[in-house]
Amino acid sequence: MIRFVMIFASIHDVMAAEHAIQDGGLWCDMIPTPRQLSSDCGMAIEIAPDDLEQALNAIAERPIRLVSVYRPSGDGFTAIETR
Amino acid sequence: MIYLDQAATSFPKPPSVIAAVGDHLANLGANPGRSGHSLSVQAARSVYECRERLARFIGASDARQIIFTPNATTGLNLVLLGYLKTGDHVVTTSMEHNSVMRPLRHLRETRDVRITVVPADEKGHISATEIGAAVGPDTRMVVINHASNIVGTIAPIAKIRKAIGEIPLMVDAAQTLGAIPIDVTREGIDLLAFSGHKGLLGPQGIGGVYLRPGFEVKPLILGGTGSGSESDRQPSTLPDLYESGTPNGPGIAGLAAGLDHLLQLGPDVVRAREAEYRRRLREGLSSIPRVRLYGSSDADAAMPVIAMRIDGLSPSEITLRLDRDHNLYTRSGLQCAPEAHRTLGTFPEGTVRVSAGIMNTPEKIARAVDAVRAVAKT
Repeated sequence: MIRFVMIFASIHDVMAAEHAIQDGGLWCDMIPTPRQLSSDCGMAIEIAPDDLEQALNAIAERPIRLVSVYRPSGDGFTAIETR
Repeated sequence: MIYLDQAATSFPKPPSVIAAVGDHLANLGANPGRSGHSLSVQAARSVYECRERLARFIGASDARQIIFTPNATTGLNLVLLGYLKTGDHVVTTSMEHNSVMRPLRHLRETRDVRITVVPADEKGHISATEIGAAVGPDTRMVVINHASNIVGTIAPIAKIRKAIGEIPLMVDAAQTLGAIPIDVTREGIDLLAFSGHKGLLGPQGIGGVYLRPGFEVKPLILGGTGSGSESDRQPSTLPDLYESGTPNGPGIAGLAAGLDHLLQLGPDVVRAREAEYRRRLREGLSSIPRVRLYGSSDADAAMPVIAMRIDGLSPSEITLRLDRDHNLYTRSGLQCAPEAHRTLGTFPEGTVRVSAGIMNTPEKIARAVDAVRAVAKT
């Protein structure tokens, strides 16, 4: 199953994003940041691709610094344009 | 044993705080946010939860603006040393602790920072009008001790905020957070340093500072944060910018439990109980011949911190006899605030400080008064 990976500025932002996404009734998983991604934090969040829009809205409502979102691409990841 | 040195650190801690620290050491003690494994995530969650709870507790809109430090002193140093520049002017009061006075003196000597110390009256009260009159166009900060650690008098923060206009206001809440409700947003407090081990009932070694969003301060300590590891540049985002090195995980877990304890009691109960202890102590002690009390007689306008002397005995003799003969623990001397004692007229001998808190009981307060009476008779 394909999952998108969200990268945040700090572990606090990761935790806050997890709450925001789950409070929105969406699924997410906190994972160690995949090695292929240049990360601002050791942890990242996986979401289902269909939930992207809703997850972004949930995060935008709170003081959370999202750095970027990636989708799997071959052996690595490609950044997704998010506004 | 009667412990009335609560202004130094609260004791004993609630059982839930002791349990939380123990649980962290036994079951949760990984390095928060440094490794990807589940235990590290749990430890990071514990830090996150405490920060969020603290933000709600002080009315901060963004928990990332709360920086954990080892104590209030480090928080005060972070702001004073990280913000004030050559030639800046600062207004403060004669009731400050050395945790403010010493960094300010250092800044005067090393950066030519000009300092105006507004004196309190002989009971420890600060006048907002006098603070307002002391600020000028070059004033970059006003630093106020929320409550005196000598006599417990509470500074009129709301009035001071009004009197100083837009100038950044730093409040030293080491003595008050947990005992007196504080809302940084509503009260216009730009910077708030707090102790985790006093009114908040956490263990020693944890404190913090709140920085208003957008308020830029240079970090004191640089290093590993678990974030941005590919770069040797300090991260620019909060809280990581100011939190290098492994945090005090057990202390933060204990602090969260202390906050829960206070919230269960309710701020009104905490405030009422402490005002009652101040009233009982002042009434009881003032009825003893030879005992002299300093500071305000108004229980509602002060913390349960009583400054006392017994005629004919030195403060250190009094505390020694209270300790050895009555197992009553108090503190003599200047309590790290020499300027405050000059204001009260009790420098250089100082006073005996009798400080109560919510972990005390009315019975122990009554026994403490009896112990002072016995020492005063001799």
